Amino acid sequence: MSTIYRMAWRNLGRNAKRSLVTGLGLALALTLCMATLALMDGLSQELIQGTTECEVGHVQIHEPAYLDSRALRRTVPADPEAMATLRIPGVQGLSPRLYAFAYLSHGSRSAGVQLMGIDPEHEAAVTVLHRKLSQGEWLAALPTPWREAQALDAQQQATDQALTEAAIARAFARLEGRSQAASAAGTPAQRQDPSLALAEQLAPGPSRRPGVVLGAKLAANLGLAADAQGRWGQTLGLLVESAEGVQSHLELEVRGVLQTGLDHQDRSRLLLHVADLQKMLQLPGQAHEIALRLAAPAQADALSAELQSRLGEGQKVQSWSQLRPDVLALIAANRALMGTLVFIVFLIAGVGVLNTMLVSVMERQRELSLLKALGLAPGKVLLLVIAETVLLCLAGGGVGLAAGMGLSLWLQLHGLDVSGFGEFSLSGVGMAPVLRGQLSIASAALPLLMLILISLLAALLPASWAARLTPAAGMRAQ
Amino acid sequence: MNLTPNSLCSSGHRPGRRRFVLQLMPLLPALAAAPLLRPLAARAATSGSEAQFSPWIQEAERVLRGRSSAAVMKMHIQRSDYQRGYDLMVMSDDRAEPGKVLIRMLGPALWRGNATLKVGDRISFYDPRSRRITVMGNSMLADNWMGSHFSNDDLMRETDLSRHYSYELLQRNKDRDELGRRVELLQLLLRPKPAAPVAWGKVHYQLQLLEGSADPVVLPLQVDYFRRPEDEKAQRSLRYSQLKPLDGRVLPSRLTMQALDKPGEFTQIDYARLKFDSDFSDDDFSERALR
Repeated sequence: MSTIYRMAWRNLGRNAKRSLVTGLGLALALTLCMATLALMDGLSQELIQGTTECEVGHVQIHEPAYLDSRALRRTVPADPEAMATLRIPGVQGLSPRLYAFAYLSHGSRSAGVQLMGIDPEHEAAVTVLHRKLSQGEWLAALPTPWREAQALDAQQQATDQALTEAAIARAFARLEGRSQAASAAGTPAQRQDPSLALAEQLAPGPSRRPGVVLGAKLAANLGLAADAQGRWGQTLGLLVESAEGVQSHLELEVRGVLQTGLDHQDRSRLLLHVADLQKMLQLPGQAHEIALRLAAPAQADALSAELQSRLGEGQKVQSWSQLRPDVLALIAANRALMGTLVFIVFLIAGVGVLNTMLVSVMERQRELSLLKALGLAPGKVLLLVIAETVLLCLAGGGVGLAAGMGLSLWLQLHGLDVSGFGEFSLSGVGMAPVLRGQLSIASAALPLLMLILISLLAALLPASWAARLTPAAGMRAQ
Repeated sequence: MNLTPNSLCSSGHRPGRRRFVLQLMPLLPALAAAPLLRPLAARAATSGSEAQFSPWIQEAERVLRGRSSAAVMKMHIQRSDYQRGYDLMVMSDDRAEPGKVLIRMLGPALWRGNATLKVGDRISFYDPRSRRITVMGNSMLADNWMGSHFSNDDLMRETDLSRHYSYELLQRNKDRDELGRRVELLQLLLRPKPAAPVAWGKVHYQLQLLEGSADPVVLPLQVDYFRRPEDEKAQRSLRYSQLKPLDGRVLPSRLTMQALDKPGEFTQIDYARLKFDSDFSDDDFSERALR
């Protein structure tokens, strides 16, 4: 056996140049496959991280029908007590969020917006949303103070009733004829005053304008820009309908601008403090969504099952992979694609090896025939050629493995800058402009296994050809 | 709810008077017809051609609106999570393009002074507390108006059951209305014409014709809206009831919009007073009039 091994090694050395070229081809294939796989792993990692850290968190809790209907009243409790029950071991952060659609105007421009109410402090413990602030200031940690709503007392109710009756009487008078209408109308401001005081008591406004952060493209569409000193502070008008169907108009103050890189968010999102939005929507202590960050992301499914059993049917707990199956599907599709690519690369490399070995065996026809004539069994000839092939492949593979590790490591440390192609997003996750590799055993093992498999297959044909040589005929041939 | 399911109602019919002009409040879902009413040439119901149904539906749809009208009404909203009442004044003017509607809220306190104005395709809201007018985009048309079961679209826009649909007579029989008058009850099935810009897949329309007159008096009874053509169950249903004299005619004074997909939920409008053919000026529908 060791004789055959030594012979094989020497045979490779007899045409060192040819062996070197074939071996280097294999090494190159291995290196590039490893680097590509490492990049894809890095991309998958970033997709998952982008999904969980930028928006979704690891686990989310909703009212069971909320995600389908997006109805304002489908909320889950988010008061301090409810939040405390969610803080089970393994949960690092909890962020209650409220959503609503509203109509935002600035001067003569207006746009439909999605309001997202967050608690800046809690949100920072779950996602890195605050890092997407591109200009201005982030939301204040404390909500805007709102005056307390108070029900009308008996006397005020009577006043309200009287005001309604007076308004109806005026309306009737108006139906009778225009002249009466004009005389009964009075100035609108006068007859509104007591009514406005009652309305203010029932649904008081904020004591100052709540600060908001809005998407960069939304700000541009509304004609908003920072002044020369980089300050914002413009006043916006918001028309929002509360959960009870009451429409109200209130003023907001711009604090800053958000750039997530995702077009639909930058175009339509308005961030404000969740407590402010709770007041606007008349949903005290409620949230549409609670996002959780876990200490161990891999346990998201287990932990969400545990939370689900604690919370019961009234709330639905889902892990990020249940919420965003598209991200997982994208990763799986990428893996399949890469697997196919590795296979094709090594198929081509394998044909190269096959060619090298066939030529080498045919050149040595006389020599191999002589060996057989001297008594070397066909099985040993077969082994000899296979050993040559495998040795060639292993040598090439060794070099390729070292180079592949080096390249992957470089990619992991420095990354591949693709910002020249513009910003891009995958499956709704904004990707960093620098692609980073992620060195893993799998991205080295898969091409290496492929290499060995292909080399064995490539050895079979020349080896069996050599083993079937007829010594007399082979020696006569030239 | 004061529904009287199997009764028939019919308007106060005035033989020999000028051609009748039936009028529909802006507060009726969907449908209002051409800006000017055409005389109803049809003779009393004897035949059932499509050409005949269209003007009838047009009449029925405009029964509380007319060419121009002003009304004072109460709206009651019954929802699973809240109930609420509004007092409203509604003015509409369809005598010239563009059609105009103004809904002014008279009470209670939280809403008093709020107004919704529609001129042509432009809808604006006025909030007296901020003294601001917001002009609305199309995106909010499908939202409910002030928490009711009527959408902004229902209240303000003129989609047209008499223009975008084809008709099929399902049933026609003699009956008596709420007041015991002899009427003919017609059940029509409306299907949208190909490529018609409509929200409903099928509409089931019940109307009644008061018997014994040369010009038939057409009154709507019930309209069921189906989301898809193949649906068995209507998504919502609008019922006209409580016949009483309004501006000299006997008209249904109560509209009940039931959300059939949410059991027990409905919005009911009761007309307190109605006046037709008011002589509005454009100023009555200006943004200044909102304040």
